[in-house]
Amino acid sequence: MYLVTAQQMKEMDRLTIESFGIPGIVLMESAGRGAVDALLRRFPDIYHMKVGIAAGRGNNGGDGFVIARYLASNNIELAVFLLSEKQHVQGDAATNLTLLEQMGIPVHEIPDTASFESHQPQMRQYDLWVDAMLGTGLKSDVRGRFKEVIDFVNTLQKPIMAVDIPSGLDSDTGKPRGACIRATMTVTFGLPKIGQVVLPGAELVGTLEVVDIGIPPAVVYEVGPKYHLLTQNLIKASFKPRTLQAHKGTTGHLLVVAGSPGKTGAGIMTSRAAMRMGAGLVTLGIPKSLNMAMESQLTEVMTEPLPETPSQTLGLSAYERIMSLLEGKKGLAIGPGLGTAKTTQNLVRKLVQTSPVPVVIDADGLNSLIGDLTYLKNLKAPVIMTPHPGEMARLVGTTPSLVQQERMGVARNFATTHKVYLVLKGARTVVAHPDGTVFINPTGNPGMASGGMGDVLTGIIAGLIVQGLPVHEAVNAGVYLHSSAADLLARNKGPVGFLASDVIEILPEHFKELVEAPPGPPQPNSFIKTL
Amino acid sequence: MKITEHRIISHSPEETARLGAILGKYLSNGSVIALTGELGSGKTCLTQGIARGLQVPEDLCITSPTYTLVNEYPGRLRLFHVDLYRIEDVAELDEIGLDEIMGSDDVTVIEWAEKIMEALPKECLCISISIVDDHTRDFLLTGCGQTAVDLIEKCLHEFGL
Repeated sequence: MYLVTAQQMKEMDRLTIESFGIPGIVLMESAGRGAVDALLRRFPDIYHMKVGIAAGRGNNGGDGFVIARYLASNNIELAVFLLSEKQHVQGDAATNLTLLEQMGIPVHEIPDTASFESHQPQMRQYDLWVDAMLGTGLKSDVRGRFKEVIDFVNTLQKPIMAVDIPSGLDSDTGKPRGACIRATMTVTFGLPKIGQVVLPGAELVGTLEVVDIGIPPAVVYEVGPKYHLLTQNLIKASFKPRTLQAHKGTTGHLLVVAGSPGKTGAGIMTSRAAMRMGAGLVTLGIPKSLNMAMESQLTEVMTEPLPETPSQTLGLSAYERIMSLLEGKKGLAIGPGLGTAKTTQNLVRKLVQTSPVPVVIDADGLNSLIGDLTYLKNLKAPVIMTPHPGEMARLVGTTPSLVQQERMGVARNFATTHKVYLVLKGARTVVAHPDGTVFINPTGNPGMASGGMGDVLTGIIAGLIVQGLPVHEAVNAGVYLHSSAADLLARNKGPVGFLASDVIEILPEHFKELVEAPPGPPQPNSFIKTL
Repeated sequence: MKITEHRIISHSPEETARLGAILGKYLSNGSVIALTGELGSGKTCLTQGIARGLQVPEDLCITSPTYTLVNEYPGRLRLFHVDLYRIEDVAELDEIGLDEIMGSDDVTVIEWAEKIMEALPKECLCISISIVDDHTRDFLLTGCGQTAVDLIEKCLHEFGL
């Protein structure tokens, strides 16, 4: 599903009004009606509640006025608190304000801090709040009476429905600005905004509902959003049923290059994850003196002893052997537990640059590239890098906290500059493609912060690639499935304490459930989607 | 209400900053200064001078808040520096609480004030800047209200006019 910036949504609204020909007031009507539908569904007992609507004087407030009309038609007790004077309301919002007054709906003006203070006792009497103060066009930190009212409404501890976006949330970055409504649910219009699905925005938004207000696909296409939300439907579309002729030759052979003394588990995890994801064959290439120990732990995975250095790590001496092993392979996963010896780094750099098959790089593989990214030039095959924020920071020479502040920007910039697939792990994993398209993954949970999870992701992505899934689909699907499997474990086993190996074990059944899941029953209102 | 108009010519950015510093020195609680003039006319330069006159610490860099809309600086009086360049609709001013800022005891300097002329308080100092040539700027100071009129008098005197 597309994700848009405030500017893109504004442009879509404009084109829909000016080129396509739906008047703005019709869009406002559709938005308000959709929001009321969502509200009545979410709060069936709303007929016994008093609803307060906090509205600004712009279009967001106008949506709030439409909501007020339909709530009043449903005999729901309500009042509008306008954070302005009536005479300052303009355009479509003014038209709707006039309609409110014709219906006799009370509208209280709060044009300054003093009037806010005098209205506070009254505002405490409402059971549910509709936040229609500030929309998606926020350009600065919120100050003045808007900040005061936002903070006040939050302290009331009542359910809040935000109209389009919680007031004070930056719709592009997902960061609160000065003050921000903490919503129970947000009904957004047209398409979800980037800031509603990344953190901390996703938490301030509450449940997100998207109302189709009639923006035609041609307009969406013309504006051409570059950001997407990974959804189950999108992932499902990547998997067609396997043909009966499938045998292990056509389902792909993966080479995993991993392991160093004391770090043998990572390669095993990656290999097993690839097999559980459906890779036909997996060969694990390891330093030869570690082969005996590994072989005894692996049954289905083949092992390949590789030439090693005196310190039992892999070095350039293994390069020729690995290259010949890659013949007939469909993918290479490199990095888990490799260690950080200088000669190992040189091996990784050379392999990444010359591999004839797609390469998934993780962990020590990524560390090998730090300090010299020229090895990402003139790549022979697609490269997929899966750093956590710390590794990402080292790759680009910054700090993890700066990476976290600009997750999408950092990932996208790296992917487009170096023409690689960049998976930036962490809550709401960002998948940036070399063409600049960015996907945000909504699955996953805090219980995943445990050892081996990254090794499993590497195996899943590589396992999908060797089965012939196009690389761009394999990366997206791998990220989604890895975390949605962990979500299933968190639900069934508990929020913490499940292991990376548990994720590996449930992959087949989880994958089956996902692929076979019906598209879902038609929703009561087909123009509202719950995300 | 008392209104006066005076013209001051500045021949360099340094002179513009000096004019700002003199203004800053005599500004009183709750002053609102509305700046108008095209890009490059010296609005930010004047504001930097005003900040110095208000004793905003020297280590604080005064830049135009084009993206944040509002910057806030401590000083002899607190200074709010507002830039409305990106504002497309007056309703967008609600979020920055401009009414509250202008109604406070602090000093407010507003760049691109032409966008909100009707929302300015009755008592304020409007400065319209015109570019004469590469270095020369024509400042038209319009004082509305006794405080602003007095302020202009003091400035002219100290500026040597």
